Parts: sequence; C-alpha cells; structure tokens
Amino acid sequence: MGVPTVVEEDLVQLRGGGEANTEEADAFLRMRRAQVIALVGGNDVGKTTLLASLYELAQRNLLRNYWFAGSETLRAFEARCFLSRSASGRLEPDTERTSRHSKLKLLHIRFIVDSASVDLVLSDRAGESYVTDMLDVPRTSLEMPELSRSDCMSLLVDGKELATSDHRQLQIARVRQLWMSLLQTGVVRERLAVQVVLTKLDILLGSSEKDAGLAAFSELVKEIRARGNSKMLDLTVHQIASRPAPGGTLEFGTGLEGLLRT
Amino acid sequence: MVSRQLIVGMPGSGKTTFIAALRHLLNANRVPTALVFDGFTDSERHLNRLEERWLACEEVDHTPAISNAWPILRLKDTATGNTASIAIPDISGEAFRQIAVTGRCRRSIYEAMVESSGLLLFTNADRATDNTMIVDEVRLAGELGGDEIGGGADDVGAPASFDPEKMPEETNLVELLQVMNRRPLSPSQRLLAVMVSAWDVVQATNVEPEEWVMMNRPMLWRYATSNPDLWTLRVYGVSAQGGKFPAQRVELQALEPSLRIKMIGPEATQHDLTVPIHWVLGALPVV
Repeated sequence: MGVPTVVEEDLVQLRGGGEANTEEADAFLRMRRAQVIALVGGNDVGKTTLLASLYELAQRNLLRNYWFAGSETLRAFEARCFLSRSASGRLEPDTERTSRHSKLKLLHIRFIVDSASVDLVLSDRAGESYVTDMLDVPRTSLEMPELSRSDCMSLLVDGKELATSDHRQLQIARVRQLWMSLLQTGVVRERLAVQVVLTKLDILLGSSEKDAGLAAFSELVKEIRARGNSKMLDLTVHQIASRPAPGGTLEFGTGLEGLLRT
Repeated sequence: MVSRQLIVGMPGSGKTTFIAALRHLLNANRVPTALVFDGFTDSERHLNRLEERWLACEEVDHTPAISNAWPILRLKDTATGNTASIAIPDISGEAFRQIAVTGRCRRSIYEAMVESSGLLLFTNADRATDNTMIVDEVRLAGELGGDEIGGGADDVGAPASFDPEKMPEETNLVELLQVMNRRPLSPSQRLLAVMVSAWDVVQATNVEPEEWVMMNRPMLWRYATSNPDLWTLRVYGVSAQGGKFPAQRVELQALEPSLRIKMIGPEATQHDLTVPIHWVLGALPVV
C-alpha cells in the first residue's frame, strides 16, 4: 500500500529572516499596523547595540511587560548579537559597525503588551549618514524614509562622549545641530513621539566627570524641548546602558524597556 | 491515503531515536498505547534498520544529511478503531536548520508544512547552551573566582564575522514555526507538541516539561504562548532511549525494551510515545 518513501530533491526558497529593505518594510506595513521607530545618532553612539540588546532581553524573556511574539528578521537580530556571544570566540563583547556604505536596514519585532499585539519596525542606518551627510546637507533627511515614516524618533546622545571634557562639547554641538536640521526640514512633525536617549550610561556614571556630563545632557534636553515646543511633541527622556561592562551596578539592558513604553 | 505529519527538530534533537522507539513500541505491543500497529507497508527497510540500532542500545540519531526518508506507519486508534497511514520524516535536522539559516526548504517539508494541522517539535535537554552572552560568561567566571573565559580566541581584538550556521537552536526553531505562517502560506491554527528529548537528564529535578521549556527555551515558549491564534501548545518530556549510552547500556538492555521508554506530559502514560501523535492527528479518519 502507498508509497514507502518520498524522494524529492528540489528546494523552495523562502524569504528567511534577514534585514528588510525599504520596499519589504513598506509591503509589511501595508499588511500589518506597526510602529516605525527611527534610531538617529552618530557613529558608535550605540544604535546597533541597542537593537541587539533589546533582542537579547526579548529572547531571554527578561522584559517585564513585553512578551516576544515573533520577528520577521530573526537572522538580522542574531547577526547583530553575534560579536557579543561566546559563539563568536571573542573574549570581550563587541558590535559590528554598520557600514557607511550600507543602505537603510529595518528590523522587526512583535510583542504582546497587556494582551495586545504591538509590531515595531526599527531602523538601522550607519551613523555617518546622520552626523556627516545630514549635517553637511540638511535636506538629506528628506531622503531618509525612516524619518518621514517614523511614529517615534529616538535621538541618541553618546554618554561616553559626554564623559570627557575633550569630547563633550562636540557631542552636544552635533546633537543640537542634528535636531535643528530635523526641525528645519520638517521631518519632525507635530505630535511626533520623540525620545532623547542618553546611551552608555554605565561609562558616564563610572567617569570622574559624570556630574558635568549629566549636567550637559540635562541642558541639551532643555534646549531640544525648547526648540521643538511649537510642534507640541510628545517628548520623553531616557538613560540607557544597553550592554554595560560586567562588574558595574547597572543591569544588562538598563532603560530599554522604558524606551518601549513610550 | 497517506498523510504527512511533521516531526521536526535541529540536528541531534532526538527525532530519529523517537521514531525508532515508536516503531518498536507499536510492533511489540507490550504496553498500552493510544495508537496501535495496524499492519506493515510495502517497505519496512528504513524502520527495521532504526529499530535494530535502538534495540542494540546504539545511538540512532545521526540521520545522514542527504536522507529524505518518509517512513510510513499504519496506525489504529484504540478508542475509536479508526485507522490511518502517516508518513513521518526521518530527515536530517540539517534540512530543518537550513530553513532558518538560508531560507531554503525541501519541497517535501514545505508541502507537509502546508498540509499539517500540527507538529512534534523536538529539542534536546542534554545539549550545551548555545546563545551565551560574553558578559554573562565574564560575570560567572568572576563569581567563580576564575579568569579564563571565551571560546578559544587568543586575540581579543580579532573580529569574527556572523555565521548563520552558528545561530542558536531556539532561534532556528522559532523561525521554523514562523515560516509555517508566513506568506505565501496562510496563517492557521495548529497543534504544537514540544518534545523535550533526553528527559532522563532532567527527571531528577522534578521540573514539569512545560516549566522546563519556560526556563530553558524562553523565546520558544513566549512565541508559542503569545500567538494562541496560531498555536495550541503542549509540552512533553521524552526519553526514547531510556538513558545514556554507553554508560547505561547493560542496565537498559536488561529491561523489556518498551519499558525503557519514558514519557511525561498531558494525557501521557509512562511509556506511550503515541500520545502526542494522537493529539496532533486528532480523531483518525476512517480509511
């Protein structure tokens, strides 16, 4: 009876879980309601580490109120986690830099929050595109779909740069100019959710100049708020340590769940 | 009519051992089971070889990567008397892993995914953790007072690039489940029996299988339970070979072979491997 063994050699090619490009993200957004979050900041500010650590928390079920419910880009998240995993063979964690020449990449993750499904589409673009291209030519922001389509814009400020007087003022000046540029080109729209995010909090708190760094951040937030006042923005302030060095007092992923809440 | 049923898992997850033990259990009929033997098919070669190795207490879970066997079992439901023939894949876990790693899926598996109303998903309780973060390893080494960590790299600065082949098993399993509901396939509700193999290594801890998955496969657990419109979940602990080889070979060979098998989970009786299959199949159709 029947055929004892089915032998077929052919393969079906499926999409896989790599990053989405703009067209794929658009197609996804047509099918499913999702929040687009633009992570904006200079190179090495911690955008990719933020993405990786958020995924690590979700994977390990370490988010209190956000339950992992799926991702169209699992492989892309895994790629961003690789250098911080023992499987990489490294002794110290790292994050692969997003190449200046790479195009915009988008990652997706779905959570269940209070019994409701929430889809997030998060941008991952090389920092140089923001701090060099956009500052030199402000209208560049109009060609960045993650900005024009975003429901939430996260403006990242590098806590490590604020930790030393050598770099502090340059960091402040760059973020200020980035914000002014975003306002001028109109990509910051009325009632847009804006997060001002201090990254690498562990490094700043561990620095001898932490008070000066925190004060500078506080002043910057005031300025950002004042400049954006006319737009009636939904503006929140966050301090995060995506992957603090072991031995400190901050937990892995400090502040990341707070970002999700807003 | 032969229906294809999915028994899936990554390499070394215990699928083939399960199939070998199941084959013996059905033929021997020495313990009560929800499904029973209902006759041989035209070719029993593949199942015979598996059963031989299982009876000899040899490792059976090393299916060649090229294997594409779908051995057929003819089964009868002891409660209703209904019968069915099911084809189950004895396919290398590599074929399932490639779905997450490259997005390539064998057509036979893909078609079975389309047809399936449920599946048995295997994960091995006796495998090493494969998604350890370096920060956790450093912290643990510090707590233990040691200073040696890392996977063997000599140079801290030596960058390794991402290799999808090294993705953690749990990620691959979740991706496999997601593929079943991703376009062009239509999302549909399926029964998911997560089979935690090598349960004998967990048994002494008195942890229930569901709790074990929650603690040790948290992403899989969250994914399955956060999508009740897609998955109805059950978790089983299974020891299809009954213990470790070669350490326990003599001890195991002294037992009635069917009694080597251990099962724990919803509606499970101690040695009945057919319970999750019975659940996934639902009521057997009259053939």
